Amino acid sequence: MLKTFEYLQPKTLEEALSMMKSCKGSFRLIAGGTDVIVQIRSGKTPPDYLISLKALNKELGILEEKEEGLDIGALVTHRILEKSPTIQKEYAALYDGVSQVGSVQVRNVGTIGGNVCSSLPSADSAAPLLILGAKLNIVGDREESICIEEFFTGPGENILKNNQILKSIFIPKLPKNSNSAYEKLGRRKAMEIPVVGAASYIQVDKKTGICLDARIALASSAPTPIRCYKAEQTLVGQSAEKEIFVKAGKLAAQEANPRTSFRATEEYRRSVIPVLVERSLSRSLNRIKK
Amino acid sequence: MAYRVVGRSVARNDVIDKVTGRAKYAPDVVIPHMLHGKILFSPYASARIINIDTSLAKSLLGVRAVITGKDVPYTYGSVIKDRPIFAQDVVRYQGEPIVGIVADSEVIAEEALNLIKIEYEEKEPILDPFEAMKADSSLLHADLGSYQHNKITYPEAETNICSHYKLRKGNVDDAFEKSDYIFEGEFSSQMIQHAFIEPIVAVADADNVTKRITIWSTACNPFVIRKELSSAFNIPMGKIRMIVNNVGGSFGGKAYSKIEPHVAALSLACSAPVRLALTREEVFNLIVRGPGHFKIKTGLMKDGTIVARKIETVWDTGAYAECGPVIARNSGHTAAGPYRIPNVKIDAYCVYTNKNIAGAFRGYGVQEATWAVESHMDDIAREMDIDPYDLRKKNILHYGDEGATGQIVEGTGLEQCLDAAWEAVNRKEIKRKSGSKLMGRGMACVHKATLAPSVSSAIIKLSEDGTATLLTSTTEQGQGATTVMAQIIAEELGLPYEEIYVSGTDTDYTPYDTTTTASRSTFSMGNAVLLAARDIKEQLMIIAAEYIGVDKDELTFEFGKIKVSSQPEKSYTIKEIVSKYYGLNGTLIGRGLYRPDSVPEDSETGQSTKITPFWMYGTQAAEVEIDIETGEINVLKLVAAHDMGSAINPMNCRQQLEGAALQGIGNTLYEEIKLNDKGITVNPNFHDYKIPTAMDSVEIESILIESQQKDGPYGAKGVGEPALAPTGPAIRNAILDALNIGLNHLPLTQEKILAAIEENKEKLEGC
Ligand SMILES: Cc1cc2nc3c(=O)[nH]c(=O)nc-3n(C[C@H](O)[C@H](O)[C@H](O)COP(=O)(O)OP(=O)(O)OC[C@H]3O[C@@H](n4cnc5c(N)ncnc54)[C@H](O)[C@@H]3O)c2cc1C
Repeated sequence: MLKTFEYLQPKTLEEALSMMKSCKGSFRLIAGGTDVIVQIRSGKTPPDYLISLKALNKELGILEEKEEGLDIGALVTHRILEKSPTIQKEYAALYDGVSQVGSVQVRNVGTIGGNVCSSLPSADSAAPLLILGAKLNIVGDREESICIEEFFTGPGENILKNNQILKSIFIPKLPKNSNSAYEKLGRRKAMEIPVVGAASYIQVDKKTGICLDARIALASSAPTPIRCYKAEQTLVGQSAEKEIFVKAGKLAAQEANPRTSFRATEEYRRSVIPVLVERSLSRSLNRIKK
Repeated sequence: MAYRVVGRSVARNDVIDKVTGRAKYAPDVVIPHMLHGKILFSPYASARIINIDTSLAKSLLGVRAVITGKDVPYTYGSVIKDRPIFAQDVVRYQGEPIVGIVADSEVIAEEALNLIKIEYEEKEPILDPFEAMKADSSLLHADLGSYQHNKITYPEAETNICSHYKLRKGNVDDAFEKSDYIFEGEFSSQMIQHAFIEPIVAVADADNVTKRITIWSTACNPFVIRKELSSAFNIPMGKIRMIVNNVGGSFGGKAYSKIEPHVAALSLACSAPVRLALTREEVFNLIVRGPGHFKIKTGLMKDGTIVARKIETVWDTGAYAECGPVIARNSGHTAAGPYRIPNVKIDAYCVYTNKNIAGAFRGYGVQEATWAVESHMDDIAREMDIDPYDLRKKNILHYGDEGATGQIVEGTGLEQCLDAAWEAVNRKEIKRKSGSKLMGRGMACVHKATLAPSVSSAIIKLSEDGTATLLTSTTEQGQGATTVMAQIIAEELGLPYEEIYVSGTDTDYTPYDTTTTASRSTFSMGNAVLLAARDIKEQLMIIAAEYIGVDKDELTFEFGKIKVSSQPEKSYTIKEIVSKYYGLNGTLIGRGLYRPDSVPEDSETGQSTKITPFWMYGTQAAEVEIDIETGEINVLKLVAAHDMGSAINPMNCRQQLEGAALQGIGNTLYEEIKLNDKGITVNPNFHDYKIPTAMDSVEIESILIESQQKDGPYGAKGVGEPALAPTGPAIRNAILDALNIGLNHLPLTQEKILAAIEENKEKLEGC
């Protein structure tokens, strides 16, 4: 049974921020609640207050295409992202990630902001956002924008302070001849968090087939979602093909630091990381060719 | 013979109520002044209780009663009476009920739980059944030797073996001597949960002065529970009323008492109605399918004839026997497989450990035994270089053969099942390799007995307008029993199917039925219903003769019409006869009682000329695809061919086959309850314990084989349980076919598959 808590519903971002400041007792922000409610029910973190962001759709719920890229409000749900033609076409890895979160019901409610702020190593949007060069727009005493790489600090932990809210996520437009993909390995085909997830982005020279730029990120492979810089570096300047992808996969596995849980052992995760990285890169490449 | 209602997939008679949400389940029961119960469960798997302090909880406003083992020092259990309602100083598993609370609301009850202080002395739990079986193991139940138990349970006093079932046929030792080949294998099955949608709930309304108890519950054998309660509380059965409406799935997990003794004790403690609803987490400890271990040895002649089979099984039943001994025994009937084997020796040990309570799970151990023996069959075929189909074909039971229990096979559609399933899965060529994926096909057979002895009774009330109501204690748990019973009445009495109403179970009003388990309802209750319908018919003929003014011998009954031989142009409807006979108000009451034949087994050899009224048979075949880089497995197709005697409602039968196959996929590939080294369940919820989703469903081809059971109603027998058993070994054998690697320990997770691939790289070469 749920512990009782006080439910606060600010009408504006400003009101939310001031509530957070003046709140006496512990509080948590709640967006879709698909993580928060599960956690409260399991008795781990019963706060005194839940501050709902639901009414802030005007400020936090907008998905906007701009000249220089895409602005995604923190409250935008996985389902809205999944249905967006822009995301399907131009930010394919993010599409791969959000379209595989839980089930349609979960995606209808769960938000990308919640996914990022829960900061679980298994978050399905995290690895795609890492390889897409996402910037997080955070509000508190002041507004600031940081690279997503700086955000995660541990399992379920991030740099957000008690008076800060994630407002939106910005993803820059991808250059020509580039594309991205995310591979998720689970035990069943839905309602499943990844045993391992691998996202990749590559840009190639159309004429030579040489890889100009590459980014690789992993989910459920370390205490936080991670970038695999060494693996990325081996790709740059090389001809983009399976052989080098396999090598990158092996390097990524070395950079990973997976753990054993009842879901999967460290060894298993280590042995599938190279496979998923290679498959992800191959898919990115195929998407460029198309 | 052509039937009009039987054999047709008429729409289920509970469909509208269920689709609109009107159907009432135990969790929907609300009674005026109803209070709410909560139980404090042990956080340890093994401990001694030093002290329980409930004083703070008792003083909380809104708390009505707090009870512990001291207040109800009773034990229950109809297989072995070994189980306290609330712990008596000893904790034997995580989840053992310690204190019960009644309060004005569930929230208050929960708050009160937090105020209880218990001092435990934690002990090292016994989690390994093989350790538990050792002579020097400490005992979970020192008094096992003095516990009451039923006739088919064979406890070994001063040990943790709560039953040792034996089957002896022929002489296996001699036969092994003479065999050309001997093969041995070891297999295991894991702890899983039934995953019924509706958690376990009960509401009791009891009075401490009159000792009258009424319980609404999610049980699937209310009469067994009534008996357990009567014996535990020493209250006559007639004072206990069990009401069961719809049940939201059981799969055997709601057989025998679950929380009925607790809710009764709570309600008696305050003489007020009390509702007790378990959370999903609590259900995971209270009832599971326990782990099983199997050692099999088989002797064959050069031509593939099986001459001997020896099996040792160990059933890890957890802290209390529940129906573990029955599982050990019933699985023993089947463990040698549906084959003609002259020499069989089976020893099945049911063993106590400090684990979650194991009970019936869609087949009473037959799923697990089938897993072992059918996997072993394919290993043999591979070793001997015989086609697995041919090996089975050569050895399967036919009409007139003697099975392992000594019963002569009276009719079997097994060969038809085998042929149909194998043909269907082989209809298309498969590509054995594509990229990193390898494909394979496999099959498995099953036979299963039903429960014996057992009794079913039914009452049909024929109302003055000619419509009929059936009073039956078969519980509707999603399987479609109410539909099948109505079809039988409609067929027999020639009444419109839509005008037959079927009751829920209420032990005050509906007559006795042993249980809604063991795939027995269509056969046993179906026969009782048929007899009740015939009783109605008999009475109709008598009153019709009187009303028409002719001799009874002149009357014939033809699908709802009564005809007189001397007036061929005239016929009388049932309605006309009934209403005219009684005036406008009157009811005919038909009674049916069915006790199928069976012969008790010899306790030393397990032999009996009729251990069960009927056997069920089936074969399933699977086509799978394995990604050898990740170990991921995709079941591409499943074929399920089963002999149900005759399909009274073919759609119902297909739903059983398809539902079971999907359940079997989860049971085989990923489901597993995990305990840590202290015996604590680490994944007691559906987020961490995975069952198949709609997305995991596969193409299932169901094939209905109708061999006509001679004493079944319209030729029917059962199909619910056997439908589950072959799915696992069929998938496993398909993996064997694809990879040349045999996996013997469930579940076959992608992780295990990948590890096996990496260990056996050389075996993959030829694939
Ligand atoms: C059945 C089920 C299946 C799931 N499957 C998956 C899956 O496959 N993959 C996956 O990645 N996840 C999965 N999840 C987890 C969850 O659905 C996602 O993480 C989701 O995106 C969380 O979003 P939410 O809006 O529900 O977050 P909430 O639960 O509302 O919040 C999550 C956390 O973020 C904080 N927070 C939310 N919004 C903000 C903000 N704007 N600023 C600061 N902090 C904020 C909250 O305080 C909280 O700590 C699943 C969950 C369930 C229940």
